[in-house]
Amino acid sequence: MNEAVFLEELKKVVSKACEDDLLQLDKELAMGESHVFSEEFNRKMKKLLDGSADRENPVGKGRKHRIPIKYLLIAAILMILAASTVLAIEPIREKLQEVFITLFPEYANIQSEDETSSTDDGLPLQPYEPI
Amino acid sequence: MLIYLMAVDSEEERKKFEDIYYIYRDRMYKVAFGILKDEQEAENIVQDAFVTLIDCLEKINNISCHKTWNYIVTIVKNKCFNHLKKQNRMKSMEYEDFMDVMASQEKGPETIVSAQELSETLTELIQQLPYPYKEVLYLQYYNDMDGKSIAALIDETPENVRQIARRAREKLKAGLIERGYSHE
Repeated sequence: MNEAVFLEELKKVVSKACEDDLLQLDKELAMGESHVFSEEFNRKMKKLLDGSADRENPVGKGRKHRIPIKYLLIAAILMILAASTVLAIEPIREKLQEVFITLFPEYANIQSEDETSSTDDGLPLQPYEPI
Repeated sequence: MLIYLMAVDSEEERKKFEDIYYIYRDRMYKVAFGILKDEQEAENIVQDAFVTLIDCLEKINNISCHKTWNYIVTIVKNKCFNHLKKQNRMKSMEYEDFMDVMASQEKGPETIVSAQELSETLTELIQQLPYPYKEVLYLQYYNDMDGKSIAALIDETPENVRQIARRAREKLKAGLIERGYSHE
């Protein structure tokens, strides 16, 4: 039996084998009682049949994430690093401060270096030096 | 923001989907339960299978025929086996083991047999093929599906599907040789 004969025979036989299998399966399945589906199953399937299900997650199981969590974590870490790098540059930090002060003046408390280095009565703070 | 879309696009498709649902849901559940032995998991698999079916509705012409049932039962089986594989509940997918079996096969004695005998032996061997070899052959020759469509249906790459089909044929040849049919 050569390859061509084998393939020819296979094509003929596969259909018969498949139909036999399906008939056998149907016989086996017909023996048991019909399954009573759970409320949850019926609710989700009703949603699917109504066409009101979310296509990305039609049965509402949260099983399909558009972006895998590991990629979200990597993105978050990269964003934190980028923000830290940007804030480490003084001119940018000052610009951001200005923007913040302009946008939210009620939350901004402006202190100059002179103020921080003086007391309430206006006298400059002097380091303690023994007489 | 979640965007809700119509899962089934046209009214005709919706009707088709509904018919498929009521005709096959119980049988699908029984197939899934037969593999998983767990009611909740079997119901989840049936739901998943229906979600897959939504995207394959155009491939189904006659709802109540064996070809459709074969198509649906393959989806259910595939989802069950993938589920078991994810949970490490399946011993092995036999993909790897199979090649070792092939290598160990030796030619048996040549026997002159009738076409009828050959056909019966081959039918028996096909029915004994493990998942997914038998299913791929059925989809290829019975449902007349191409490699790409089969790949989409059983969550494999087209290249893997070609490999599975080739290995299935090799396994059948080996089985024939073992039973005394010569293959040249």
